[in-house]
Amino acid sequence: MPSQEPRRLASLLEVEAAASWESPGQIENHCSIESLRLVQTTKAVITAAGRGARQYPASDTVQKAMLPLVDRDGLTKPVLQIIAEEAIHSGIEEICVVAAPGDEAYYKRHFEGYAAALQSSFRGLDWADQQLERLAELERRIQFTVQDTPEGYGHAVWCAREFVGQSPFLLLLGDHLYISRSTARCARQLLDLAASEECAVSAVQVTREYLIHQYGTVSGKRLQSRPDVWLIDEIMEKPTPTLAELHLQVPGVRAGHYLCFFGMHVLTPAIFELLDGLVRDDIRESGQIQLTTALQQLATREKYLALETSGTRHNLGVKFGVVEAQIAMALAGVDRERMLSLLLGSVARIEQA
Amino acid sequence: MHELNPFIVTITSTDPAVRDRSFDDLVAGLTTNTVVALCAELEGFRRDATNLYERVRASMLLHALFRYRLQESPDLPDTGLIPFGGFQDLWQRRFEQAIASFSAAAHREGYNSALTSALAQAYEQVTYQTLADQVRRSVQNCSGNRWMFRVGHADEHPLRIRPALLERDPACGQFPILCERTAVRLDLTHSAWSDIFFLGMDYPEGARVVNISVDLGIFGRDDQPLPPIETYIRVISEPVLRLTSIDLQDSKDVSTLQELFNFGNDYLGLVKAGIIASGLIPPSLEGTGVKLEEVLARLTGRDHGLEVVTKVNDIPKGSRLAVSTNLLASLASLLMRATGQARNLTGTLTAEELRVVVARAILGEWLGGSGGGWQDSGGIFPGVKLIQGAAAQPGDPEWEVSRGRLLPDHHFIAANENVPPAPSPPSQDSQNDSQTASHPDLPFGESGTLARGAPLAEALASSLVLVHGGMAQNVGPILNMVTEKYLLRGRQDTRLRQEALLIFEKIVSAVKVADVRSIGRLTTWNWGSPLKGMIPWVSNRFTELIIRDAQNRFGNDFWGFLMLGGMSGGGMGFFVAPHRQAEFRREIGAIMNHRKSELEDALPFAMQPVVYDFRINPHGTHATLMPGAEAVMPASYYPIQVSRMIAAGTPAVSVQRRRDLHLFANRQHTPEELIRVMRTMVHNLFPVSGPGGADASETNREAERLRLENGFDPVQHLQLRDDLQHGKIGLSRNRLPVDTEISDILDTDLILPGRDDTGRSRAVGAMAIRDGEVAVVSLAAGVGSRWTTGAGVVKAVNPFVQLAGEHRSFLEIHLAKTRQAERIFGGRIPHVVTTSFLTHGAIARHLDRTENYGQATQVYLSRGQSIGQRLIPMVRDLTFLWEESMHETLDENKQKVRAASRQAILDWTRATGEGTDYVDNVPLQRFNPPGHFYEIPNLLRNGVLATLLQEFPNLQWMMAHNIDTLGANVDPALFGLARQLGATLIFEVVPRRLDDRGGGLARVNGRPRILEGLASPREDAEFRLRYYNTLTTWVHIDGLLQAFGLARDDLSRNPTKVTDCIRRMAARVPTYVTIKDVKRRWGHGQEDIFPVAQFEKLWGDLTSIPDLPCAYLAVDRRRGQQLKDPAQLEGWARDGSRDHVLGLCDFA
Repeated sequence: MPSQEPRRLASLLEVEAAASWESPGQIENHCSIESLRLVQTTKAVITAAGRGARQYPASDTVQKAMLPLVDRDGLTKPVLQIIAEEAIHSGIEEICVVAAPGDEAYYKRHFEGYAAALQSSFRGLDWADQQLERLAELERRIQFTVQDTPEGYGHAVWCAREFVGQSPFLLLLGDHLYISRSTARCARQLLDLAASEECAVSAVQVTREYLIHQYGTVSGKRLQSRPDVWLIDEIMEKPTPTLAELHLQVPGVRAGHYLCFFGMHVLTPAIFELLDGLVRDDIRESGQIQLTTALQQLATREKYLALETSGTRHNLGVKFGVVEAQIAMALAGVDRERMLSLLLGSVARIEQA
Repeated sequence: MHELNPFIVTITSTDPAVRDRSFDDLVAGLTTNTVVALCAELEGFRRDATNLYERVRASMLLHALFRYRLQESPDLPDTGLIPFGGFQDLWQRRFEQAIASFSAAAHREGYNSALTSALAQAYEQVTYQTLADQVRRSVQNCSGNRWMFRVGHADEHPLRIRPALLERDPACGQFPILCERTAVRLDLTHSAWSDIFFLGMDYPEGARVVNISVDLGIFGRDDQPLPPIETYIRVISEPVLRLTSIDLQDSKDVSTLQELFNFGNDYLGLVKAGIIASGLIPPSLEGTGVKLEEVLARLTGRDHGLEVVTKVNDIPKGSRLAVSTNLLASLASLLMRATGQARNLTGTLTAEELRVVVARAILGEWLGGSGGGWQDSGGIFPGVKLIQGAAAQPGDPEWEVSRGRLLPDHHFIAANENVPPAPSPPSQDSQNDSQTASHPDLPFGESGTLARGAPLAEALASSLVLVHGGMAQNVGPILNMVTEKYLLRGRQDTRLRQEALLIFEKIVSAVKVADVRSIGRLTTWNWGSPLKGMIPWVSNRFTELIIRDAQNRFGNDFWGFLMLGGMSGGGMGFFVAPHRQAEFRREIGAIMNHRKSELEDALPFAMQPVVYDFRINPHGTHATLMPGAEAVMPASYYPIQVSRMIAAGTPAVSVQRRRDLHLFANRQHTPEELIRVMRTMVHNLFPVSGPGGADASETNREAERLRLENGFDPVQHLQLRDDLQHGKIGLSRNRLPVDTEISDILDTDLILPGRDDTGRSRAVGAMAIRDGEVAVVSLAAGVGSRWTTGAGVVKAVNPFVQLAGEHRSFLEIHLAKTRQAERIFGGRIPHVVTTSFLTHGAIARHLDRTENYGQATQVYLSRGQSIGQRLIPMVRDLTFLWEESMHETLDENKQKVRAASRQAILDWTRATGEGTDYVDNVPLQRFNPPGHFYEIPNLLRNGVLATLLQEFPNLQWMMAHNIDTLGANVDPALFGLARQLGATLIFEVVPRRLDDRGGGLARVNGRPRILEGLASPREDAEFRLRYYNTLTTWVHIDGLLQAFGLARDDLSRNPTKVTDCIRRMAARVPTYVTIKDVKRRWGHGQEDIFPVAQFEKLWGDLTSIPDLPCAYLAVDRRRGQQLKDPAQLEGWARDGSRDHVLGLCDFA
């Protein structure tokens, strides 16, 4: 049944030659032209329902999203706030946090308690006022949705389908922080590309092969006009290097390195159609409903790009991840010199001892 | 200049008519000077070539030019010196430096036969090294394998054991077991060895086989055929790799990477290689200092490890069914599944995964130092496949290096599929040539496959009978011969290869219509013409006889013979009419046993012949998960482990292992299974049997009988043993003092027959022969361990070559030469064969059974009168042998295996007791003949010479020669010359060539004598000697008796005096300590090689006795050449030596 076959662009040349995606006849069946015509992305989904299996049991009772870190502006904030601000400063207006049952109340209580403490203990201080203002902004913009059972990342995203509706959206992880190397934030870089190309975009990072078993990994063809952008061919979830060598080698990327997801995506609402299918048919990998499975299907249906983001990613869920993220943020912000002297002093003291 | 050099033009031409010109055509009519000039140009071309084919073919052509054209050229000096530095380079595998060194010497001094022999060998070795390097590079660079060479630390290990294997069963607490079951492969076509990597890479169109996955069982033992290979993995709660090979009865807890990368200190080398090649422990971790425990923690979690078990259902070695390669492939499949490198944990693998497994199996073979062809891992694929070479494409590691890829393509053969088009001849050269056959690459495991294969499966099952003839031989030399022939494009060889391809096409057609009778006819044709025509050494007398017997017994119901691989004598097949198949199965077993009993001392049998049951495996390699209470290893695993657990003590045995034992004990077992387990356990715990499973006390009694019957001298033995243990004698003390002056002989020390009046000598000699003045003595007391690699086969009766339509043994050839001399010159020439306890029985049996090979010549056996007890070597002697003496370096991985084996041998020596009697073997292997010094004196002692003198009163001379000096005959010119020299012993020497190691003719402290290699004070001494000793000696009988202080009458009248005189003479020559390799057989065709120490006296040392007149006769190499190693055979045949020997013989 030819009409059921997914539409793929045959080659990079075709992609680049296509003057407009709005041209009738270029897009067929499953995905409507409307769904791909990405206007300004204003919604973001942050998944924060996990419990940090890699640091279990220590992490079992602590929501990583609420760990306090000093942001680049020198203010101490919960992680969730830092992530949300990454979205807001990139132009996002509404945020949906996918939380585990009971966490919504916890998060709200925590933010309220934090605001109350600022008001009572630091009234009149500029930084406290700034922080109060931001918390109020967050409260206006954030809403929660609950993932009743932990059934995988794809399932968590699927839980936000009503919030997203028919809009494109930014997808972020609740335990990852991003520090841009350019003036534009990492999320902004992604949103800009999605807007200009009017398609789904995932941030990727060149990653050494021994780490790829932790990430979704993609292969694709580099766009001639944008050396940091690839048209995605194939996606595999946490591949072994054996499979990666067979399927995921990308011309132009160093031997032994692959393009791995950065944990940040701009997706079209078509993803929910695909996730619906996975949930409905209970299609799982390693026992879970995976986002990568849906993304693989997305890549066969519509134009889907990968952007090598100019920035670094910090996973709070791994050993020393929080420490590393804190140091990186301090070094990238107003506390850079203080952090440098702290590090050097600490090393000297420890070595002397 | 290149465009005028016919060899370079041939290599680089794209025109088949030019490119496929044979070496013989190219070299015909060229003068020696022209050849020398062309060689220089060709060497320049070789050095600059970047293409694999060009480098390899240029190297092989240079080898052939030096070996067959210049080395034998009458225009070049016969003698010369080989630079020792170049020789050292050659042995250390610095081939390019060796070539430069030999070439520089030739430039300085001009070419001579010695230098050309050195260059010939250097070019030959650089050819094979270039090929091996390319295989290594290709395997490392196959997609899916590259990452394994980049992991440098445990933290960089990217694999994890799949969660399903890490989940303990809540009820029994055990981890599940993953089991892989794999078939072996059967090559239905015999590809004329086109599955050699280089052929596939250079001539992919011609590299094609029909490869069938088969399950096996032993006829009469097993209920039904099953996949013979089983591999298992499970997580264990100890941070070690527990490796077990059930068939080799070995198990070990590996706790360090150093131990894992040690392939030579146990029987687990293959398992280790499989673990490394699978990526479980990447090969790049070798030598990194990383702890295995850390790697295992990454893989399985802290304080956990893995257990890997292999089992091959007692399929014996040498089955020609690629058991080892498929075992490696099975391990690779299992471990790839376990680490998520294959998508499915259980069931079959995808085509893409199978391809990775093939590459990993080849990598494992390379790591473990074993070898195999590209079709060998065919057992992991389902059913019947056409496997063929594939053209290299951009992105392949072979692109722009060779025409074909290392890894072939696999296609199922379906009924009604078009027969592949005729392959292009080897010369159609273009990097972009696509493969000529375009078969559908059917999805593996497709449901229709079995249905399509079913008629063939049924037809084969009802007709084909698979057997193992019992022989297990090293096929390495054969594969090198094939490569050489392919590169030299001999006219006949090229025709035969094309014929083999034609047969192949016909076989494929017959396979598609399941016409087994035609398949049998075609495989017989293949065997009779291309295979034996290309490589005559592929056959042997045993194979010929069993085919003949089967044909005679079954007449028209015998449909054909199938050669399975490498060499015949091991795994073979027969096609018979279905209605007589059952009868044939019974009969062929009897035929093989009968012929084996006739030939077991003449050919290297490793085990009793067996007949297999088989069936085509339609699934390919297949895995199942055994959870909970099902997670139990095969029954034969437990006796091995229980012995180890008892040795370790109960507290050291983990709870998990105890649970495992309980699970096994509580399972349902058949009584037979339980009895087998108990019996094995008792045998392991309380061994009473000796080597080979025989009763120890019985073998000891047999050993004692041998000692008594063969004149063992316990007093002398104790003295020598004591001297050895205390360092008074030893390998280092064999050598003459370091200040001994050793120089080459002067031309005046030597008799050069050409200088003499040969015609007159010939007339005198002919008359003396007719008058009965000479006897021939063939020295055959030794078994020829280098020829048979210590297999216990008697070299003298080994039928190694087909001459005049039959396989002939060394002894038969020697008798045929005597027969010819008798015919030509008249008179009678008595022929004596000296024997020892090792060889007497075999030689006597063969002579008796064949009635002296049908010769009328009278044969006298001179049985040895003494025997030496072998000893466990001293560590200092082994160290001296391995470190102080020069040894050829092997390629990188084989060298590693050898180094590890040596450490294991040193450990064995220390544990067993240095310098103690060697008793852990069958009685015959515990003793040695005490050296060829005694072989002539034994004639005096045992009455044979007395008998000869009585029966041949004119007898004056004996011509003694080694059993492997095939060109030595009673030459009238040499005899005439020898009898005029006035010497008692006249030694024949030949111009030295590179292979002639171990002494030579020298001036020692100013006096000419034979210098034994053992006595040479320095390694380089013999490289200053132009002549090599052949050991062929003309012995003047009365002179010898006089030197011993005897007269003719004493021989029959005064045996005590004879014995005393021999003892006195023996005391005047040195006793050497030597190290020999002996084989110890066990299991199903398995063999271990152990070095043992023995004492020997050598015949050549008589030349050091001042009052014994000796002379030295320089003879032609064809007369003096010795065949020491089967790898020499092809060159021996090609350079005309075989025909020369044939011309000396009159076969009955």
